[in-house]
Amino acid sequence: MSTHAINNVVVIGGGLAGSLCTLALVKNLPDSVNITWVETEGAPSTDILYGTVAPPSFYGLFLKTGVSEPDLLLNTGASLSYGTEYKNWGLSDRNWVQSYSKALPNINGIAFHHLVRRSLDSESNRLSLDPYLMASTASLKGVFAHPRSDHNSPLSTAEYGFNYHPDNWSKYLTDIALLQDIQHINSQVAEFKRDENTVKSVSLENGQTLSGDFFIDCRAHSKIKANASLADWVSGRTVKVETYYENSKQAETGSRIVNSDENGWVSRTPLQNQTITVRLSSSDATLTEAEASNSPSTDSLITQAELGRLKMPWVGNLVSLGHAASVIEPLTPAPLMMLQADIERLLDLFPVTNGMDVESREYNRRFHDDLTHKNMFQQNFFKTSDLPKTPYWLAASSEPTDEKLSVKIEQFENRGVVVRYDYEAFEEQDWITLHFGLGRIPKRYDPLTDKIDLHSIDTILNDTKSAISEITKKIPPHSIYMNRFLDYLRKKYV
Amino acid sequence: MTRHFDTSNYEKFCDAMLSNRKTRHKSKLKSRHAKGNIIVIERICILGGGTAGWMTAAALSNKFKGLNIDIQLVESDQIGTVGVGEATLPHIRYFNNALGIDEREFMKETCATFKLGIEFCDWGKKGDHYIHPFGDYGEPINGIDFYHFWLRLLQKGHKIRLDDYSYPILAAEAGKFKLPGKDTTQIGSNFGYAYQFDSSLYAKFLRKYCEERGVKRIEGKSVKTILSPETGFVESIRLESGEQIEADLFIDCSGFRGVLIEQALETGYDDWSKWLPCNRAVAVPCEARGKNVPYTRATARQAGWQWRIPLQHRTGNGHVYWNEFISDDEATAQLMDTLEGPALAEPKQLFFKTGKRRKFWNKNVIAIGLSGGFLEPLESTSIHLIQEGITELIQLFPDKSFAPSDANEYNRRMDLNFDRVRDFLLLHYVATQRDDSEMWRYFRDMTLPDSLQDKINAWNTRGYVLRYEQGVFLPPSWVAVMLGQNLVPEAYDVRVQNLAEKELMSKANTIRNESIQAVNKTPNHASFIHEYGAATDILPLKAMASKSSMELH
Repeated sequence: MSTHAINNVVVIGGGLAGSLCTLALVKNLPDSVNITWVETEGAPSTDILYGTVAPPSFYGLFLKTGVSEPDLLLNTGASLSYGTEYKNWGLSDRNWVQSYSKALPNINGIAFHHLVRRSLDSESNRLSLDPYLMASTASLKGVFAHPRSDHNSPLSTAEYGFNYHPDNWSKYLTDIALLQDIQHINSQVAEFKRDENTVKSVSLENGQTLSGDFFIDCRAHSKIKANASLADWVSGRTVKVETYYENSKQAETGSRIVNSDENGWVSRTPLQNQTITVRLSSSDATLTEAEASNSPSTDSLITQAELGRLKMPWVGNLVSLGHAASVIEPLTPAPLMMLQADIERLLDLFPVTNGMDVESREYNRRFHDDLTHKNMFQQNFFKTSDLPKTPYWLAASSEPTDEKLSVKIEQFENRGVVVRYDYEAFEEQDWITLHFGLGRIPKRYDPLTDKIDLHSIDTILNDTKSAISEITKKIPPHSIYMNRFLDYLRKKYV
Repeated sequence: MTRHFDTSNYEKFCDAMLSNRKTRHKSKLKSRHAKGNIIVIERICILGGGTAGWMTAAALSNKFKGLNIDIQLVESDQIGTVGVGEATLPHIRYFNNALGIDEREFMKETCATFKLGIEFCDWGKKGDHYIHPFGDYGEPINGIDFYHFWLRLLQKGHKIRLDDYSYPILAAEAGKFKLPGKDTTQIGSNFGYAYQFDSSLYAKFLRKYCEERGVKRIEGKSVKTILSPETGFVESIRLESGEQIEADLFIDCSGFRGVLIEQALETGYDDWSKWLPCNRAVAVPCEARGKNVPYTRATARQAGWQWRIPLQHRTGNGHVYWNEFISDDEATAQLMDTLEGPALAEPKQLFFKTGKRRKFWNKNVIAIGLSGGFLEPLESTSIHLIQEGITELIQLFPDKSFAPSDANEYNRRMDLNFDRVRDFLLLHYVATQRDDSEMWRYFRDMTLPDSLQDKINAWNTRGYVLRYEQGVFLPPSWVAVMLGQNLVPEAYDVRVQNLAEKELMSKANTIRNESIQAVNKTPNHASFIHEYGAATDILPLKAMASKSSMELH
């Protein structure tokens, strides 16, 4: 095979993955690469499985694609959020805020959570980190403000992300992508023409045949299942996803709220003028006929989704990305973070020639690590003993525990140490917040903690708490802040 | 989670939004009983007082100050030190800082010099030389590492050294040094540095530090280790004098022998001779000649390599070799032939086997230093691996129950450190055109570990570095050695083409000019040491007899 540069790239699939990937490619690749986007459909119904929350780190990808915070707020109805409040989790009704917070400070070289652990009363068995985390406290009070650059202010530690409607985002990104120098086609894929592992061309239902050097499949998983020549798909649980959209005035909090119940969990995500409710449960009860025939409408959507992943998302000159490569529950921002990782990994490894063995090998290695690391954060939610014994919870908690997660849990449970692996997307603070939220209180604390007497520890904890609670009183309610901020942006940018 | 959006745009808006309601700060305290840790370690015994022993004692005595933990260190004056000179990595500065050590005093006491990197001679092929600096090349453009842009210029026929975009390389070549400033956006401040020092003096310096902090030094040789018949844990060690030292936790810093970890617990050793076959070294200090340069030198030889470490008062030299292909006498003769000045001691011989202990932490014994493993000092990792061993120990410090999970996690982390250093060392031997001796032909015909082979393939194909977060050598180090040893990638990141060549040239020139200007403003290394107040009073040494063994760097 003769070696030549990659000149023609074909992106297949619409929706969030297709539009974001197309835009990211056109904004980051040199002009010599021609991009054809086959938008096989509008937003696929399964896009809701990317979730409705984007963590602060996701903004990095927007920056690379030339989309700004004002753009998103003024055009997509997205809202600013401190994270997710988990309520009544499991049978013990655990409540905590999984906020986007910077790491709690070290005190004399001792991680803050060890001080919290040290202060645990012998007769009590509950500890909350919420009062020590600015973003969590503000979230519970329903207030919001942008973080400040003044490092002495507790507000500098409160990060924020977006609550978003996946369809609105894909529509906005599509509009921008279509303004770029790309070829755009609306049609379905009929067939890939292959020569061994190499895709030579793709024929479309509209009769067109597109040849290319490199193909990127961004379609919904259900669309590509029939594609037998793809590398193996590893099937996971099947879940039932119900989505409801209601117009609403601002909610009490700007954060997403997730409630667990007997049959699964329900999330409510407040946007600017809308609330998205997602109910995830076991699919054991098959969809009723009425449900199955329910065509996508603006109010509600009920669907079944098979979780799972590809063993090798990059084979030959075809990469599967987003839901075409992995489908995970939108319990945390993990699915959207996975889409981001897929696109950024693709940009890092965009092939230089049609010989792509090095690239695919490394891409597949990184994909595997990325997915493992994101999955294990979500798996952690189910690694407690106090979950209902119903089909959803039994299935979710009986998934085999990754060895890396076992070590993480063991170390935290025994002594509050956070074990880290290479390039985990969830940060140390995210894990500490989650462990505490799940009631995983370390049996012992860092022995260095005993250098500080109990009274001083109480003082440090109280001071931290009251500094946060005092500033919280000064911050306006989320809805007022958002409205004023939008007015301000309209004046400034429109 | 990291935010990328700059909210400073909104600062005024935010100010207006925060109410200026006056609030009072109050804190309530309650008295109560809180659950404390039980079964805490009360007695630690460190066996061996070389660099590893005293570094461990210093870190633990500092960290545990104020706690009821008793630290004893057993060493024997009969096992003295020679002080060959030891080269370090920038991480040592964090170690010293954490101890609250004053840099000037430390440098004075250990006859230390500054180190900006290592110069490698004759590695890629005979006659080659390059510097592996402590710092990146240039600065990333649009998030892409600068060397990709340089590769493009190279392919276009521009004959510019990548080294010219590295301040630490240019400063090292000019024999200059200054401390990095606080503003790391300045090219002349965006680099790391380490030291070259006399390790026996460092041990002495730390001993004083430790004794001031209550570490009890016990003079004596251990003759017997007493194990618990039930658990197999070490209960005590008996000294020649008959004294019995009991402790909850034992740290084995006894060197290659591994008195506790191996002789008593029979932990086992992973032999890495297959990959790193050099197994002997001979070392000798000599009088310093010429300019005092801020870098270590490692010169490839026919059956190994030779080090040169400039200290303030003399130069440390050594020859690491594989005895399969060169006799001890010949290796010594080669070393003595190349000394820059008269030798200051008799050459000392060392025997080793590269590899690592199967478990660094076994039962209640933790092996730190040579007792834990040995990798040849080609990239100055010995002290660094001691430091890692100590840092991880503090993070995972056990209690008397000695949970197996703690030992497992400690061993996982240390294994990773050793594995990754091993690959990096091996790279030096295999990224070469040399085949002029048996040793070089051995490496040419070697099947590499997959982890290294993948890394080389990805580099050669497109200048991509398979990266990791945990491990000492980050991508710029791999780039330095691979390019320095003539592995030039066939292609570079395609995103580089987004920048017009003219614009690229202008950006590159700016970086290069800034680097050169920064070097012009940098003082000479030797005069900086003097003006900084870090110069030792010890005059350059004349030949001086010294007994006993020594340590490698």
